[in-house]
Amino acid sequence: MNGLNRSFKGPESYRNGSSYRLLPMKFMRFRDDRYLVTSMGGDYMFLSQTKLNDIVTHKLQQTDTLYPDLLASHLIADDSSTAHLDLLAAKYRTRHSRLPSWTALHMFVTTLRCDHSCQYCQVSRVSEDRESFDMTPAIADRAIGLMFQSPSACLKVEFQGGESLLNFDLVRYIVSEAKRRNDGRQLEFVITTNLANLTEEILSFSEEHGISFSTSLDGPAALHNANRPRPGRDSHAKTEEGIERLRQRLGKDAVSALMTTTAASLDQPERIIDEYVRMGFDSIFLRYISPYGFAVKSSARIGYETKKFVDFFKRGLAYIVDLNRRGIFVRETYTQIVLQKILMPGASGYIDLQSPAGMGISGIVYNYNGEVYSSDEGRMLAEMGDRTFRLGTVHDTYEKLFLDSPLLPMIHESMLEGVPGCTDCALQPYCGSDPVFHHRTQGDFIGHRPTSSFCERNMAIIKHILTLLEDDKETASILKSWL
Amino acid sequence: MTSDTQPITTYQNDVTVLANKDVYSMNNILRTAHRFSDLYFIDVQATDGTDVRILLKAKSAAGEEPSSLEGRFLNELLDGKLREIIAEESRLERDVILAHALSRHPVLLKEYEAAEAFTDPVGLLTPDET
Repeated sequence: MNGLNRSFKGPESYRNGSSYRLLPMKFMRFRDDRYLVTSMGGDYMFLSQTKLNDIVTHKLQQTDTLYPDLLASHLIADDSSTAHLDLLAAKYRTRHSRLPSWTALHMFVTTLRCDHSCQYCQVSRVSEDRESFDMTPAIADRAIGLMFQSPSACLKVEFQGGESLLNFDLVRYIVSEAKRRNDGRQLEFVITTNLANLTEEILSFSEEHGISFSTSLDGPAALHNANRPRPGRDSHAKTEEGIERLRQRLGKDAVSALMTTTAASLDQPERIIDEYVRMGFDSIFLRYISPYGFAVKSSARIGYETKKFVDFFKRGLAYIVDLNRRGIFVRETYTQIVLQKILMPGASGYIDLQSPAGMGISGIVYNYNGEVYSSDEGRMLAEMGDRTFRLGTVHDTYEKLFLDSPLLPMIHESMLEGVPGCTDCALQPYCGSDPVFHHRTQGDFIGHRPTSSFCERNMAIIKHILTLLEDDKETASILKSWL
Repeated sequence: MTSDTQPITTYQNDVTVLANKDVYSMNNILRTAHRFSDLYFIDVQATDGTDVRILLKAKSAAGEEPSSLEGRFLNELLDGKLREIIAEESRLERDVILAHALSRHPVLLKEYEAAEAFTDPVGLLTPDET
């Protein structure tokens, strides 16, 4: 019997006794008498305090109904073979499979110029006519060269701003040059834009080169326009028009949208979600406002406590689940990311929920002026005067940027496996490290988890999703359909 | 000492917990205390006897009921004790799993690493004996 199939067991499986061994596991008091227990591979179980005590003190009998589930979840092992170790190692390795092939996402800040003056904008912006804030082709050439030194088989080029399309000539140059210099990688291009400057020329070029788009949509017109002012106060109309044009030319899936939650959003999650549904999106990302750039200067007006965001998130998720129940398929993206980490074996590509941290490993930023940053948030901090996350410039060698810069010490120091408060946390397999956030909000890469709003927010959301999976079969079924 | 001379303002719901060093490790006590550092200032001191004295001073007047706080702290200590048992018993397997997962070379069963995707090295496709 190979021990991998639970359907038919031999008589030896039903003998009394306790000869199992404990495998590495983490647990946390979840609620009442319930404990959440997770394995190294990310499997989880809910156990009573009594049962957990029995397991750890080797009082659990093989006849216990939980026994096979504990084996299957890699919380205990009961034979002398090493098959369970191989399986667990394979799971662990799969969860970290992105590490050997860093870096897949390369963000090019084509310009800092922008025609919007958003309240939460994460970078300093300047007026549209200041071309000294544009990336030059010479800088782009160096950045493309660095990108192709990455070992990743897939390279995603993301154009960022300011408003990236205000320097469309450079976008066109980078796309053409990257394709010309491609040495066999799978290349993907995404333009992050407010869509206000979309032209026929841009549409044609994007159609020819298979470029997709990411835009901002904060909700209904009143909310969106209040958050994202531009001359004419027509940001929402421009966005809606741009989405429609992109879909007509490039297909429905060629454009995705992101929203940012401000204080004005908190009491209207349903209206925001309805707006996404009305515009034909099948997903919405209920995003927390980042503490960078102008979001800091405007924090008194647009900021909020973490608890209020969590309440907003839960209310929004409940509404989305209800829409699904009524036959309208729409997903919440952050929930989907967390569900993938809880229920699926693969590695997550979402930078903010990775350990080791995703910065540099999963994504890297080439700023308009040739500076290289470990993450977009690191670049935003630099615009505020804090250059901690600057790795160097495009004129440095790849080896210097990745191996002889602050990058590796920052990643190493902030790994959850060594962070006080995270080392014992049962949510560790589903959570991540965010050294930029903790540096910004708490003064170092590690942070103080008991008072970290990153920790408070993620613990609340992940525990809520686990609760829904555990307590509500119908909701669990809907959530699983998002994977 | 009056509150005027205290560097930290204290409230009536401050709590002192005594933890027996023979039962709870210092590592466990410090990890547990850290978990409470969001709402409490914490002072950990060894006594002459077998106890460690943990003083929890509420950071604000809206602190927890002392009896509830003490109970919660002791429960967390107990959880920490279980974590230490698990960590000690599973240390070797954890190290082997990590080595196997992160190494480019097979650490455990070499035939698994060398096998083709469809050779079914662990017998997943083989029916169980009944």
